[in-house]
Amino acid sequence: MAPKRLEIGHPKSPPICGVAGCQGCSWIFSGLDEKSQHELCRMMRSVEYGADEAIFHEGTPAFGFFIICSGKAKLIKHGPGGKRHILKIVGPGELLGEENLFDGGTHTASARTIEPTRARFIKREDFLDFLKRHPMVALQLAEKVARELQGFQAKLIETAYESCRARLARLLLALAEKYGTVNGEIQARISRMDLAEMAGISTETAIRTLGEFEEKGLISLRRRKIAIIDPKGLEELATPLPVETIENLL
Amino acid sequence: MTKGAELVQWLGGLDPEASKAILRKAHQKVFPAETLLYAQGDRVSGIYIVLEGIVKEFASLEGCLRYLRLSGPGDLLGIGEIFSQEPQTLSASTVHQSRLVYLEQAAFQQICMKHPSVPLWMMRQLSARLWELRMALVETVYVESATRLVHRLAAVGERFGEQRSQGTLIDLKLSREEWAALVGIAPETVSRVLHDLERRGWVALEGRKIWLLIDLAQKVA
Repeated sequence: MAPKRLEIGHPKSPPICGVAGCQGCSWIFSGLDEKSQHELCRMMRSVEYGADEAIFHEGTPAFGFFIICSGKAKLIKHGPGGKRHILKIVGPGELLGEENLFDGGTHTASARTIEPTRARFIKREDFLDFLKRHPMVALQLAEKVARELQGFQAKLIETAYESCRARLARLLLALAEKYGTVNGEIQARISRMDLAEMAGISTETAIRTLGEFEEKGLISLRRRKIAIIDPKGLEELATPLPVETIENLL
Repeated sequence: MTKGAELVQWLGGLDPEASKAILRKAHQKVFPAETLLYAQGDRVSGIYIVLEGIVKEFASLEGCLRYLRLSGPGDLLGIGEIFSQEPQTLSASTVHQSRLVYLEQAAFQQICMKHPSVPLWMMRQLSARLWELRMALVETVYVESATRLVHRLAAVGERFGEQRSQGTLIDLKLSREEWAALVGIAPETVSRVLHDLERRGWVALEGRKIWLLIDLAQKVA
């Protein structure tokens, strides 16, 4: 049922810092030897946030980046008139704020938790030094950012030419692919407002379109959870984005 | 200016050894106007650095054309694909006669492994491109068509316009359909907005040439 092109092509790296319950760290750290893993570990600082808490704000100095250990967070860009667009959602073993390591050190978007989140923070200067000594990690990070870039290109093209219905259908399929389903129910609690802000449509349109999908028997709505009843029907409304992203759900 | 001197100018920020390594491996090529450099779906064979001229990058989706970017001196083409090792996600063709430097993929990879400052320098370019795309995405979603066209005219004028006594000349020979593809709006909207801007005295139209007669960026700030 899932859109094939969104399958994650790179397995996570084995756990690095030994945090309890860790299912693996970001793919960019794959291939590091034990000594380098320890070196990386020594740079990390633990941080914890409650649900719906700010991690960083757009326009503020970026002192480093985060590796999410548990929970989920969203990266938000503010548009004109205070409107918000969710650029991506990150979960365990994924990076947050890494793109600002290289561009002058200011956050170009805001990050907020969706649920209680534990993370490791690494300072910018420490990590840039580490990258200079580990070109393979630098290349893997570049590949991750490059694929994200291609994902945003595809979203931009889609946004200009595709209907709200197609965008929402694709987002539901991508969420199912990313977080899995049990009896069709997507295993993530995403509010209607967050769905709208990810698809780039108004909350009213998202609610109306979800209602339409339910009437057509494509999905069923259960409070904050959504179950996909007819994945083929949703796929007919929207083909997957022609890009294979690593880690993040765009 | 020699190829070396020009490249060094665009490779600013790289350590001198890494710059020299790129210079040794890079080939310079001149392409006439409207030459296709690569097409969407092509296998990636290397990266280009624009030294002179303008290159348009575009994609088509189910028959619709979208121009993603106009690149000029100092810009890199194909950097996303060289790292992701996916086929080209965009097509690229020259607008005017353009001079580019080409670096083959194998040489690029060797240089990256030997000089870690190169992938870090490229990451700056990737991050900047990512930022541009995110801005464009938010603008496409939330900003109305006319304002987006005015923003794009102002940005293109600032980057590629020629300063003349009567104003800034944009002479990229882009049709109304191409401007529409660049902004992500209908060609009819481009024509309507351009004529409206002309009536206000903000622009003057001369075939495919567009004169910016005032500071458009300030008008829509």
